[in-house]
Amino acid sequence: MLVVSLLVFAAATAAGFIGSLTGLGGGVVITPVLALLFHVDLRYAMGASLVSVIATSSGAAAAYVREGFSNVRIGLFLEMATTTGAIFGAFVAYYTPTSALSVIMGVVLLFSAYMSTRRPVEHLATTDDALAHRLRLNGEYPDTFGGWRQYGVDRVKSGFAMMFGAGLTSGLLGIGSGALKVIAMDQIMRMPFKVSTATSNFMIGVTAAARARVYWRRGWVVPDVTMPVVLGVLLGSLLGARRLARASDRILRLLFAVVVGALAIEMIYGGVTGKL
Amino acid sequence: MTRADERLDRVVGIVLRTGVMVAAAVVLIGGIAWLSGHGQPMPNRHRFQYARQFAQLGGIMHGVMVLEPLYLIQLGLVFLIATPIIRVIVCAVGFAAERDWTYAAISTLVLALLVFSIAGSGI
Repeated sequence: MLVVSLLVFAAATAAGFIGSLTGLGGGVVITPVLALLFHVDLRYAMGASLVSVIATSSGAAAAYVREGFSNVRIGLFLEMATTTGAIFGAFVAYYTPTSALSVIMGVVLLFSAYMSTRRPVEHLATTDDALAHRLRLNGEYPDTFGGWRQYGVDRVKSGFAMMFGAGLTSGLLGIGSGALKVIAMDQIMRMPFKVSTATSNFMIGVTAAARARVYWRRGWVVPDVTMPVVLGVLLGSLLGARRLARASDRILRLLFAVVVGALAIEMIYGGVTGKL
Repeated sequence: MTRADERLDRVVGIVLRTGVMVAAAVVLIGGIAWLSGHGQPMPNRHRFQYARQFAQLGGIMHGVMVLEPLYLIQLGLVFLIATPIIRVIVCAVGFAAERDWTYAAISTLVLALLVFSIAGSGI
């Protein structure tokens, strides 16, 4: 009992560490690690992953919000889309066989692996679209010289639609869908990369809470599995956040991509052959 | 330079940090108590089996009252899930105080969706 808990704790710490370095959170790796390495039933794995996602995103968001990176208005506005999607996704998950869920999970993992190696290219919005202007979504964030930089927000409607998809995916799989949220903001709405990541972290807790109760009621969240995962991921992400401030992490990102890619293939294989 | 939402940002940051810290502390205490207790077999988690007592708030509270470590962990997890919901309430109140009715309404709608997802699944 103690040994298994410590091993899960160690794996969760590693997941949280690399997850916070890449900005994708640890949750996306937790489910496959529990399911493949520890042979935990997929539903328990998803329950534990979901709760740990709330822990890390809220912890990270606490710092980002105070520093002024998270845009609270954009976060709240888009949460209307993600919570609706998450409620929908959690209900769909109930009627989806676990083999299909693990294949979908694999595809999302592959996508996350690709996202973590991507070199962020910013296409900043030069003008606000009309809706962004009306909702006063534009904001400012700290630059590297101790001042504040203004930014605009573009294509709000498309971003809103993409967020519904992100919510749907996270409701379906018990992950934060951080990668999809960041794409909606920095690629579609053309917000600065740092603001996108920080606002994504801010939003993930609410998206996750929307479906937490559904998972909970079905008995997918059990204390003995979740405890070492939550504590490990929290510790790992704290360590990762510290490292982010100083080191360049090209090798770690690549390592993360390889690990996530391998897990993705395992999940798809397990789903297709009906082993999971 | 002061930003428009600086005060609200600060309060939201404090709420999030406090929530996570309290939840983590409760989970950690429960976890240590559970692992140091002897003679409790590890439940089999390779196959899914519905356990009613962990899935309902009443069952969790009852377990906490009799100081069962596993229920204490579960209570900490409840605090964790409550944290973002409390954050939305704080936003709604904060925007209302600033007389920003658009965002007070958006926050309230998000809160309503959260309440729906909780109540709709039956506590």
